[in-house]
Amino acid sequence: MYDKQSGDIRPGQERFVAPLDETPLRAIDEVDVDAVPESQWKEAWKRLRKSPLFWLASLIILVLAVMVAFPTLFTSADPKAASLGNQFAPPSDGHPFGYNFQGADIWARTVYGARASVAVGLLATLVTVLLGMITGALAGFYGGIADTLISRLSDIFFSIPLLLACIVVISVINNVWEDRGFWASVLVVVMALALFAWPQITRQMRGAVLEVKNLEFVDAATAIGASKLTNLRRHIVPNALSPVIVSATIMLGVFIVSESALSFLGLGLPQSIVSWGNDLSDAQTLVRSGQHLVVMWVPATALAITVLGFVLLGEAVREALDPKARKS
Amino acid sequence: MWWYVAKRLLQTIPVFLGATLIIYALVFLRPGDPINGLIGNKPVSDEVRQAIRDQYHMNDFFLVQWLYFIKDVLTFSPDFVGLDGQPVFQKISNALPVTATLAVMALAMDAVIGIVVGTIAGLRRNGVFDSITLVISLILLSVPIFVVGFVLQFLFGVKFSIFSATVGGDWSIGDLILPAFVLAIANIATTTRLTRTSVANNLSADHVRTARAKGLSNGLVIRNHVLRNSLVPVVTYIGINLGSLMAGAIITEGIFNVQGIGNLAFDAVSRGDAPVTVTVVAVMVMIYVFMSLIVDLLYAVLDPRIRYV
Repeated sequence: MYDKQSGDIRPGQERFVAPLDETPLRAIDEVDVDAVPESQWKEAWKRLRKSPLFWLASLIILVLAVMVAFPTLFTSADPKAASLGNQFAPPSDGHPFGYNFQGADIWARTVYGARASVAVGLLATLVTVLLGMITGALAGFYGGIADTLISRLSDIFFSIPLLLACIVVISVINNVWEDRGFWASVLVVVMALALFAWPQITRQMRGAVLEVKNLEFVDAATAIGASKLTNLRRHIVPNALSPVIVSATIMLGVFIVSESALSFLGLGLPQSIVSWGNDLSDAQTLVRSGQHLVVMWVPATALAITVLGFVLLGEAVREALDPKARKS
Repeated sequence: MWWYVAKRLLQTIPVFLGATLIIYALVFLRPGDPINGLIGNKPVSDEVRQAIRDQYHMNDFFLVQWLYFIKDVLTFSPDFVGLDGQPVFQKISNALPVTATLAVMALAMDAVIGIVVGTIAGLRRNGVFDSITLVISLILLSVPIFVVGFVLQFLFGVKFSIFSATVGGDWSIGDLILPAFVLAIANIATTTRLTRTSVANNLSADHVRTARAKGLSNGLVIRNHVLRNSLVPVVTYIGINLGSLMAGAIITEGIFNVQGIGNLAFDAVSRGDAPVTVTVVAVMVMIYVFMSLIVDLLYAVLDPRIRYV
């Protein structure tokens, strides 16, 4: 970059004239083509590092990740071991929150339940973002028939409410494919969510690509001989990505909540799988009578903190990627 | 503008057809004979079975069945019955008023609380009120709606008996206050955040500085220059959400036993009742499409730079 000193106003100067160095012709010559998209993310990372929100969110997500990977660090009890003799037994050593209706350890079920919720949230976000990014980039970049087709198709999928659509899809699959293991069950919920959630990302991506594709640096890349596809991949998509990243982070939280809502309706993961949604769904009758509320509080708090982690991360990333909104 | 409205209405046709076709195909894929569910375990003669199959056009290719469905919906046919033999439109018209009331009440709570709180927070960005609102709205966003629903139902319906805990068939507006609030909660959080950001961003906009430089009073600047511009994205968000509120009603109606569209849809899906399921989805899709049209028109009212041709 150019040095700051040359920006000083020289003696005898009547009007402010921007110093020649401020139009950094030399700097332009020195610019490494690859460095342009990188610096945007580097700057965002610099801002992100200063944000307390980001560190709080990272801490939550880190604890969650450890919980998913090594549940035995948090509890030594078996989440599936249940004995009715322990029904609603009070907390004891090694069982900090006591036992539920089935006589299973509440804390152990909450720790092991993280795996299912996080798997659904992560995979559903991944599939949705991939689908949405590809369709949105194609629609925005190529326009014409591709745009019309993708836009109309996304209109159709967008118009059906997500939860209702998932209920229909999952209840149909439940009738076709009853006995399925952990990953197959997760996959069904993931596919149902992604199938009706992708238009949101598609619309954002399309809008961002439309905005970016007419900017000067894309023309510049074309002028130095970049092909259409290179342009899309190296210059347009990376610069159109920030709204998608923000949405994806928040979407992850939404998907985790959606899974628990589906489980509440009996249409999420099967009862045999330990998940927060299933535990909350089991707890509903207890809450109605106001007894043994701890059975609901523990998984509900775990779920809320998890979602909070991703919402906070989304907020932090939004501020880092859009410094304009932050300053005001 | 009328040309724009006509164009938009025309565009709803493929959306309507596509959405119903998707749901119809999904329900059609469901295995098992729906007639068994209809008649229970009683033995039934092949003639009766055949008559029922003919009545529901079950022997036709599914695209033909879907066309019959479209015909029935478009003509409001009274012969259009669900698998339990009851007319679909009667069921829907019985269930729609309570859900619509619920959704509109939730929408009103969302708009009033969200905009008022969001504006105050936005005007005093990073103040005490703003920070408290931020924390509360983030917590509300993170807790699943049914947990909030059960807790509020237990607290206000059972323990303190301020509101009725369940709604049931004979409902009044008063019964719906608690369910509507539960339904609105997640949206209130988002509306508040959106209004706050929008107001805060607009406060530093050039046109606001110009208005202040002209010597306008603070109240006038905020009312005419900040709020009007800040509300454009907020109105979009609130309006678009009527559809998702009606879908979110599936859970709220389950908690509070409201006999509305959500309950109807859930029952129909679990029974594999294709006519009712697809009609409910069609109703939701139409509501969504019309709301987005209204929002787009409101856009032009709020933002004079937008003109539809």
